[in-house]
Amino acid sequence: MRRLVTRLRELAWRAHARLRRGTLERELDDEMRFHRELLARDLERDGLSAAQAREAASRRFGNTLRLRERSADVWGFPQLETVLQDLRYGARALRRAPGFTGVAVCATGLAIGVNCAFFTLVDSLVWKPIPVADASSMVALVTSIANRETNGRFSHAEYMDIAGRTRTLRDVTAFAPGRIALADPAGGRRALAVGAGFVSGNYFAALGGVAERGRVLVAGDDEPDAPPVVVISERLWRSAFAEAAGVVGRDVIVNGVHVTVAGVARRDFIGVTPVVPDVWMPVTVAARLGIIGASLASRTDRFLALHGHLRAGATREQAAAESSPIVADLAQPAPPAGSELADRWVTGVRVLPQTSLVPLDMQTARIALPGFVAVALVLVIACANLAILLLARALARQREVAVRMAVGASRARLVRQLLTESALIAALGAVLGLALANWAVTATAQAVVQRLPISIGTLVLDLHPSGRVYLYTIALGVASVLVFGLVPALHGTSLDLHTSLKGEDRLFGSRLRRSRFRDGLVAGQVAACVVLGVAAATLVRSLRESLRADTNLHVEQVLVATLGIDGSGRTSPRLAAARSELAARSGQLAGVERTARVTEVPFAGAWASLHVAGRDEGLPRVLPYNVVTPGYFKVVGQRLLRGRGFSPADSGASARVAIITAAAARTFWPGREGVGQTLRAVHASETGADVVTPYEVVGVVADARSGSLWADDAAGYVFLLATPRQVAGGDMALLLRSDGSRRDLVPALSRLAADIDPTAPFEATWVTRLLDAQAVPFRYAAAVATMVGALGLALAAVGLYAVVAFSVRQRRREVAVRVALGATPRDVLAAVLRREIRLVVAGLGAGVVLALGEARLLGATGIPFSPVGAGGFVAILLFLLAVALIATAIPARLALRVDPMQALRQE
Amino acid sequence: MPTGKPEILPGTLEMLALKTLSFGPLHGYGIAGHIQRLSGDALRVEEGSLYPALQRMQAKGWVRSEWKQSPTGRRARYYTLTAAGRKQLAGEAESFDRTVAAIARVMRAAEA
Repeated sequence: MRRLVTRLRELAWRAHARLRRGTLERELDDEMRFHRELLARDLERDGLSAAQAREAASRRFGNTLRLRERSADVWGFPQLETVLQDLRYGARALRRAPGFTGVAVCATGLAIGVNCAFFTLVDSLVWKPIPVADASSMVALVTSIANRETNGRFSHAEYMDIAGRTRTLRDVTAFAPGRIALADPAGGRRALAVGAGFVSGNYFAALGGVAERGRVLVAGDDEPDAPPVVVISERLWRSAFAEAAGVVGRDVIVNGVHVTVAGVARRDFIGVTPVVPDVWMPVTVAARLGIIGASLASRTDRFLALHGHLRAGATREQAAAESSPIVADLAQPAPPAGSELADRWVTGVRVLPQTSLVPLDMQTARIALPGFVAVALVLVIACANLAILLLARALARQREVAVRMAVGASRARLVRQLLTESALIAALGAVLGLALANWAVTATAQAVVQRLPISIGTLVLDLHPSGRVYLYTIALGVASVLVFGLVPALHGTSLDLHTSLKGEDRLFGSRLRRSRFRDGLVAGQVAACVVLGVAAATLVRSLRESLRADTNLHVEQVLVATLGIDGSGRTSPRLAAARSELAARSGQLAGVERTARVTEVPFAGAWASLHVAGRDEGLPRVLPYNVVTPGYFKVVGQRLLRGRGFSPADSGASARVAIITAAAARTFWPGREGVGQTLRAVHASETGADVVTPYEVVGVVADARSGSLWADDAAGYVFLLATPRQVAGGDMALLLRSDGSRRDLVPALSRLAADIDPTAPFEATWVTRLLDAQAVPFRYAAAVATMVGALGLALAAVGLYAVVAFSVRQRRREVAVRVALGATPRDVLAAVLRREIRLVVAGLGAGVVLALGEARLLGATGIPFSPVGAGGFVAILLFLLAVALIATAIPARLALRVDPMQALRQE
Repeated sequence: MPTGKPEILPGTLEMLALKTLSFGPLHGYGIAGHIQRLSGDALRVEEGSLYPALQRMQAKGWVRSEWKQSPTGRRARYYTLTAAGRKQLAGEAESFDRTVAAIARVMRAAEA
């Protein structure tokens, strides 16, 4: 405390001294003169002559100028003032060279922006605390299946047992996402299809959710006899209820069941997923009223995601050990490998930290790492370029530096001055980068969400830059100053004053030493370009590959029409009848070529899988499958290769029939036709034993990727013919093929649906939109990678240009001498370029090696990338070489236009 | 400048000046002369370096200064020790004594 007072008093004194510096200086001079006079007087008294005494006094006193400077150290804040002076000087220097400043700030800004945008995204997913109460102790519970680390769900009975018995966890919540039809009892309007969250009663209280109006769900709401209530989102309240004040207590119809709106949740309540539903309701009530088709009593109907908070002192391991016995099917013998039961055999519970939306684990790291490497490379290229630009600038400013050194500025002071200039560039770049990143991330997130075809809720991702983002940006800025500023500053101030002042660019002087650094920069950024180019090409190629896989399907004219909301396998008879009617009547509609019913919609996501075996002895394989009506293949345009299609006659027969893709035929009966073989599908029955159903393969269709773009479907697909009972059950989607004759097909279908059931929600979506939506993440990744690659390339081209301009400038006199001695400009050009091209080629070579390493990094993400082949590599290398040649040739030619006589006369 | 006089130890100039001022206010020349006299001209001081030290000590609040008429009739700046300066002097003197004693012990041990 006393020390602080002393320190403050000193600061006050310094500040005061700064203000009356002139007076202090005068006083000091006066005082020192007085001292010297007295000293001289005394010396004179000792017998020296007046002149001798004055001289001796001066000698004994010391250098007045230096003493005054040292005294001034405590007048004001000289260190700070030097920094300010450097800043002023740097700003002036940058203003004087607006072209250079613009390029430098834009380059750093773009590079830092790209890094920052990526970091912001990763930060909001991985580091930002999940926006719930007490996020630091939040954990997710997941089941392990067959000892594999899958993120399995829990049944409601298991949830009740875990929540009731746990001593290590508190506030265990259950959540299941879904979609519901929300209707107004007043009628007239069609019901809305909205995203729903089926939750435990304590969900809001445990996660800190509060109500904007009315109340949130509370523990009593999920009691067996509780009146059915829902909480709606603030977004839904605005859009569907027009912010009505009387929404609380209002009666609404959810999937045909009357419920009461208890309240509106606050906008900032997210819960456990970033995709926020529009309606929350107790899972028990939803199951009891048949809003969802789940069974609460079953121990194996696992559909709930569980979260909780660790109690003080408890560990995740303890929590896992405590809940594992509750859910594990360990009492039963292990089912045979490959059977369907094995895929549901829960072997334990893992408890994972859920302090952020995405856990920071190896899987996340593997996916994020290539991205970090790519954006870091852009920054490296930008820094290398700036270093080159600054080197060139240092050369141009040799005279200025030399003059300042000649008048006594120390080298350290000049280095600091030049670094301040770089720091200014980096600071401006960082500000620009932050702004760019902020804009890009928000715009991209919005665009991605808007392109998703079905509303499953609102994506609420907090993309505001956190303190970490700012720190990261500052760190990047500082790192880039050191990388691009230090070496040029050191080079720029190691001068031979004599030659510099005479205006000589060093001819044969220290060129070798500085060239090595410069050469490294050139080769390095070319190498980085190769890596970025290959990464971009890989992503673009993967995107094209995955979109091309559907060329065997012709779904451009195919609509998927959905009437009502699927009650998770429990479609009401009324809705089933309405759907059958829609299917029948839409087939008659003008403009509809044909229709089909399916359990899996093409490109709506991964299809359900079936355990099938070709022969008795073979282990079952897991293949995506679909249950379809006979018209399916004609609707989606999938060609029949062998055998025959399904016929309506098949469904009446007792024989079960299947059609498989060519790949599936190869999987089960390599080298054979496949038609006429028997396929054995393995289902787990209620009793737990596997039931084998034989199907006769009647046809083989062309291979076509039909489900998820990202799933491994190399083993092929299986199509089973829908039984009349399945069709009548109503739990099948309707596909329609348009004949292209009418543009208003969707409105016509909508009118037809309204005629059949005016209240049920109706959606008609083009299948191509589903395809598009699946491709969105990859499309964005590819677009971003291409942009990043193009940015890197553009920066590298600018850098090469600067390098050559710099090198030619450095060798101007050498060139002039050669031309004067009779060399043709061509010879000289070749001599200048030879060296640069060698560097570029060396860089390309290094880049290929790095790109191969990068391919492994991409492979480790687990995403099925299509790597670039040798042809692609060669194309990228040639392209880069061409860009490098152009970037080198232009400045070289420009430089050679200089009249040799003029260049020589400059000496 | 080969003289047999030892260079003043770094940092001790301030202590010596404080000690000098503890006997009463003095101007710079007086302080320098006092140190020189008492040390028996044994310590060589670049006399001017006293002034940056005095500025530093003013900033730290150890000494105060005011312009007064000197006996010769010329105006001179007189420095006065403050309470904080007195405290500082006591602390420095004590640690100086300890250091000297410690050095002396080591030197004697080396001779034995």
